[in-house]
Amino acid sequence: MKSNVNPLTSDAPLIVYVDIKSPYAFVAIEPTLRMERDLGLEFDWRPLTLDIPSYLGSARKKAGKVVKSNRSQSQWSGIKYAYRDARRYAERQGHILKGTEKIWDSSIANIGISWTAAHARSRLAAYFEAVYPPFWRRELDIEDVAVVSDCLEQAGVPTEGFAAYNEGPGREAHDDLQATLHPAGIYGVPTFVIDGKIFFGREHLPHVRWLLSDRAGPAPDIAYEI
Amino acid sequence: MDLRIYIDFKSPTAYLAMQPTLALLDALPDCRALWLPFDARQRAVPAAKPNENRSESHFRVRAEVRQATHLYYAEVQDVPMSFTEEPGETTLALAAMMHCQPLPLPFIAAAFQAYWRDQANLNDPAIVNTLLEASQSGPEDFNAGAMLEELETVRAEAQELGVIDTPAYIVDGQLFIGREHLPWIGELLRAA
Repeated sequence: MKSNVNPLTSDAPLIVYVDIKSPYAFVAIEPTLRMERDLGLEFDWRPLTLDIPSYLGSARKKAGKVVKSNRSQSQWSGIKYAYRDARRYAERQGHILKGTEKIWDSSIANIGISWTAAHARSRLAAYFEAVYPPFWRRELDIEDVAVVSDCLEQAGVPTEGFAAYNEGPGREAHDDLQATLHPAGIYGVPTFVIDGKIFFGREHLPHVRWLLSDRAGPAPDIAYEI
Repeated sequence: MDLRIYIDFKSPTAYLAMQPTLALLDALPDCRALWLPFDARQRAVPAAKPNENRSESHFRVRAEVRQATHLYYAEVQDVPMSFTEEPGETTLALAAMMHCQPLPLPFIAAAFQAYWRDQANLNDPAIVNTLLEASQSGPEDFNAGAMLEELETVRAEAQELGVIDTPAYIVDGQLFIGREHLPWIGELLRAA
C-alpha cells in the first residue's frame, strides 16, 4: 500500500475496508470473498483500524465481568445487541464468535492485510482465514507481531521483512490512510466503495453485486445474505 | 406464526422497511403481523465544527453517510423522502396507531407519507385526527391522554424485549433490528 492513497479511488472495481477486531467485518468476509470469486474480480482490500473508545466508550472485562467502563446504558444495549446479532450470523457460517475482554489494538493484523495485498495478493483470502476465525475464538493475540507473522506464514505469505514493514513504511501508510477516512466519509467496517459511492455494512452486498454486474435486473434493497 | 413489528414514523429505516416487509407478508398469508409503536430516538445530523475531536467527527460523518444512504435507497424504492433539519415529533400518531387494530396499515401508510413527503407534525392532534379520518381506521373516541399512557407501557415492554431502534421484528423469540434481516425472518416464518 502506498502512502497518500486516496480513500475513495482505486484501480480495482471495489474498495473494501475491514478491521480484524470488528465482529461485523468478520461476518462480512466470507460473503464478500464469495462475491469477488463469483464475479472474477479483484477487490482492493484496505485496513480501517477502528478507534472504538472515541464513539462507543471503553470498557474492560475480567472473567466475563465488566471491571472498568465509561459507557452509557444505551451504548451497552447497542453493543450487546450488535454482538448477539453478529454471533448468530457467524454461527450460521459455522464460526464461533466469542465476546471480547478488552478493545484490541488490531493495527498489526490490519497492516498484515496491506502486506499480503502487496506481496502475495492471491493469498489474501487465506490470510483472512488464518486470522479472523481464530481471533474470534479468542485464540490469537493480534497485538503480538510474532503471532501475526505466524498467521501470514500459515496463509502462505512471505514474512521476511514484515516486522520492519510493520514498524516502518507499513505503519506509516496505515496511519496516513486512517487520517484520510473521516474526511472522505468513511467511519466504520465493513465499508464498500464503488465509483466513489460509500456503502457501510454487509447488508449492501446484494446492491454492490448488482452495481458490479452491469445493473442487471431490478436494483436490490439491502439484505443480509443467508 | 406471529410477527411483532415495531415502527416509528420518524425513523427513516422503519419507513424504508415498509415495502420489503409488506412484500414478505404478502408472500406469507398465514403469518399474523402485529404492528406496534416504538418512539425511537432520532438525532439531527450535527453540523461540522472547527477543531472537531475524533468522537465528534465520527458521529457527524456517520450521520451524514447514513442520511445519504437512506436517500439513495428511497430512490431505489421510488418513495418520497426528505429530511428536515431537526427530526419531527411522532408521539401522538404512534399512540393513535395502537387503536387502529386489527387493520392499522392504512393509517401507517398515511402517517409515513405525511411525515416523509409532507413533513407533517405527527404530534399535532388536528393532523393525527385528519390522518385517522382519511384512513378510516381510527378509534371513535380520540383520547390523547389515555393513548399516550398506553404508548409508554408498550415502549417499556419493548425495551424489556431488547428493542432499541426501529424497525424491530420479533419472531420465534428472536429480536431482529433492521430490514436487512428479512431473509432470515422469512425463513423462520416459512419454517413455522
